[in-house]
Amino acid sequence: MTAAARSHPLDDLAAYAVDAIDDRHERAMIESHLVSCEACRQQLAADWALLAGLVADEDPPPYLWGAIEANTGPPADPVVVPVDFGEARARATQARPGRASRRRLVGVAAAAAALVAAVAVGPELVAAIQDAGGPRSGEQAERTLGVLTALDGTEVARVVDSGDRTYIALDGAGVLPAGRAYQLWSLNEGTPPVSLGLLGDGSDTSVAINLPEGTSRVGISAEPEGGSPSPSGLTGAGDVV
Amino acid sequence: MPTSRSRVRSRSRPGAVANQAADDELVRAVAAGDQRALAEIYRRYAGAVWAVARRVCNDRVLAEDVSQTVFADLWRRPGRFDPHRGKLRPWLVAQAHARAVDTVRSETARQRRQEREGQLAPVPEPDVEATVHAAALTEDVRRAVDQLSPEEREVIVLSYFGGHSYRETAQLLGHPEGTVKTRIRRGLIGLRRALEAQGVTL
Repeated sequence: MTAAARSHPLDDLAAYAVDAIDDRHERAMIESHLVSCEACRQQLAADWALLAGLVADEDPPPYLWGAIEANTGPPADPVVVPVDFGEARARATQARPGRASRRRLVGVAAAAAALVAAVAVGPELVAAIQDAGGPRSGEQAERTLGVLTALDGTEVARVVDSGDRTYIALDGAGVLPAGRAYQLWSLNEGTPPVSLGLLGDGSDTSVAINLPEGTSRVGISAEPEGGSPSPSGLTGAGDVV
Repeated sequence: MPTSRSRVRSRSRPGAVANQAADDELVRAVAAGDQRALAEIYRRYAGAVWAVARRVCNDRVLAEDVSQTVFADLWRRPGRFDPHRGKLRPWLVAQAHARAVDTVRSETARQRRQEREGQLAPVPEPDVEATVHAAALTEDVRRAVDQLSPEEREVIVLSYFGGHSYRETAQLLGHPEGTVKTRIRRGLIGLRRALEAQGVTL
């Protein structure tokens, strides 16, 4: 054994770098050495750099970011919409107001009517019911960005912005047989359909999705569970705002 | 060295600034709660994180959980990444590997329990060649792995790609535990030399 190996636990460090040490106590010993030893920290960083080059990058599933995005957004923050339909309509087309202006709206509405009713602004906005006591926890405004209908006009799904994430509600789509899954497509005019990810078999009716900027129309189709490169017949489609 | 970059369709599309930003700056922005910075980090490194999770877990669903956890952890605790201790990509890959290994170990433990209870057929013994094959190594890396001595090769493959602890590896191969650790270290040195000899920058 060399002098370096005596003073630095090099074999342990190599095993640590490849995650081959499963004993907590042993890990703690190495970690406490790392805290005080710059040379071993550099060795570990060099080993990690080597190891990070061993496996070739591979495209993750397209829906993975949507799941991460849904779990990392800003904390849920209720939006309150005043009763005045004209004003609500105008506000619905604006960006979400900041926290302060939302508070102000609560105050105004409460003072005016002691009640803020649930308001639907056309099909676009579904607001949570708020009473004069202020926002109730667990309730927040949701905005329907689009309704997907089948050829016969039946509503099969809605694209909803819950404030901190976008999801698709597969209310009318139905559950697919085993081995099949719904797939979401962007159907922008002038371009071929682009897959926006798989949505499961419909048993989970609320699935987080990821709409790229500029998406004006989406559709869902029933596909083999791994998905298809292009839709094989649409279950439903609709414009999104 | 693999150069393919993952293509991610993201709604939180990072702006031009984020596209140019250094990794360290992005991590600082994540610490300040900027989700676009996280999206840009994802765009840069999700391909590497996903690849290692997938190769170690050998299961898409488990690999999805691992990959999500890696980015969610970076979001929640960005301070765990210390830019003075190496670059972001290898650090993220190391996080993914550690989580993938944990996942595989608990999954194996679960299967062994079911096996004992007679609900599952015996779990097959790990196989070095099958593990190398499943790892889908690039040509450079495969050549480097092939240049290791057979003893170094099997410990590297079983521990890094197979997710086995040095104790398990020692048991599987019938070698002393200390020998396995030494061979892991020599294996890493051998890989580095072989890759450098092929002109791969690490």
